[in-house]
Amino acid sequence: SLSKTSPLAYAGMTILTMVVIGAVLGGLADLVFKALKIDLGEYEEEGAVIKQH
Amino acid sequence: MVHMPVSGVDIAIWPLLLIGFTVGVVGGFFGIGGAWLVTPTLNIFGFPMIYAVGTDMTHLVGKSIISTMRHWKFGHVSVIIAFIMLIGTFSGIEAGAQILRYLTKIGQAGVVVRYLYIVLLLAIGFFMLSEYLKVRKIEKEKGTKVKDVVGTGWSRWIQETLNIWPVFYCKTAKMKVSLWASLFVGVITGFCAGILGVGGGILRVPALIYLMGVPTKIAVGTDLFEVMFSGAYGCFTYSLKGGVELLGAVIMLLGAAVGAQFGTVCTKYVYGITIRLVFCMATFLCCASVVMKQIASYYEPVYKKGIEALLKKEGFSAGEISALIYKKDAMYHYMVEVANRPEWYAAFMKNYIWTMTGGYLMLAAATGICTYIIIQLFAGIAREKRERELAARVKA
Repeated sequence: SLSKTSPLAYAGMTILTMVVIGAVLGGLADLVFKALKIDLGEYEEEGAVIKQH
Repeated sequence: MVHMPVSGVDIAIWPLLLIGFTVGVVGGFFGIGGAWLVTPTLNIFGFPMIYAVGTDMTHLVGKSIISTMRHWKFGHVSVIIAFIMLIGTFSGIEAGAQILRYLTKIGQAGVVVRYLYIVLLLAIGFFMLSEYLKVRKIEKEKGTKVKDVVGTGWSRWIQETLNIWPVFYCKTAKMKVSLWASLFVGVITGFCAGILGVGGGILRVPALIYLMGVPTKIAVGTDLFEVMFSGAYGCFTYSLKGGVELLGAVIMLLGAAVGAQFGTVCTKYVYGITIRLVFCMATFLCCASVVMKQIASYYEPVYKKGIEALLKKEGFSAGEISALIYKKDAMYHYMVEVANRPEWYAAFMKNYIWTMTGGYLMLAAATGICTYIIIQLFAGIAREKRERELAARVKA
């Protein structure tokens, strides 16, 4: 309904909603990995990479 | 079915979740937004086209946050390169958008944009493919496994030519980077993205790899960090015009949140050079999508203005017209039975077939790439488990 009355408020609420949901889901994924005891934590290996710098 | 409050149409939930999941996997793996996959596939499920791009941009904000969080933990995000490139990107986007406005004014935007996009994608695809084949040749000659190639002749030339103060050392990528080189690459990719009217991830990742000389995985993570900001900018501008269906974006994000974990974690188990090979396949598929869109657009001028005027007269809103214009039965009714214009319907059917073919091709491509990534992920996990068991046995 904000999109009809105040486009600026609608745009703000849209971004805020996505940022909050994104951050919550990202944090939730971390908790799931921890609960399942999945530990997630090549270019440092010499000879494995062709360097052209 | 769920009612979309902005556009007023009813959409099934599962296609939105499925699209979100597949583009989450692909985006997390490549470091791109994936609008070229989302927009045509939303189309085949009856999502109104005028809301498709804005809704995709909106879901991208949440998805890129989730993917960046994971890549950040892997040490794949170079904040300093991302921020400098962002300044260049936004300046480039504004300049490109001005040219796009001029092209729109003279009525050439659609054709120029699509042909430019096709040329760029083919160039990137063939360059990446030839480089991959070169690496495979080196592997055969030397008998060793090459995991990544860091830097190119172009990146060396850019870094040396623009080696003007300030030059800083990037700890994440373990390389010296000139501020002006980063700005230059940002402006170029932003300019192309601005003209094409796309997010630019599919251009920025190759630019980071080949023009900046950043390792592949860091290019992926750094681009996703940039996508957070460029996506938020796109989301804001589309929202202001009322072109965003927030509920649709949230449903897609729920699928993408799961998919992004698969895609980002998979980058841990595959070599940088493998990411490049799959990325190059994706650019060819993206190119195919644009070609189909171009073919479909040939038939639009025959009926589009006429049917839109007729539907407006019948009392439909812009959102309803956008949804109706992809429904065969409704179009037959209004074009043939109401307007008595069978030539409109014949042109509409040709457009419909090409549009749907493009949509299904992208859906198949997204599913195929997504399946490949998930297989690689589970193969990597199994390999790691075997290595750990072997190490434990040797220790014992």
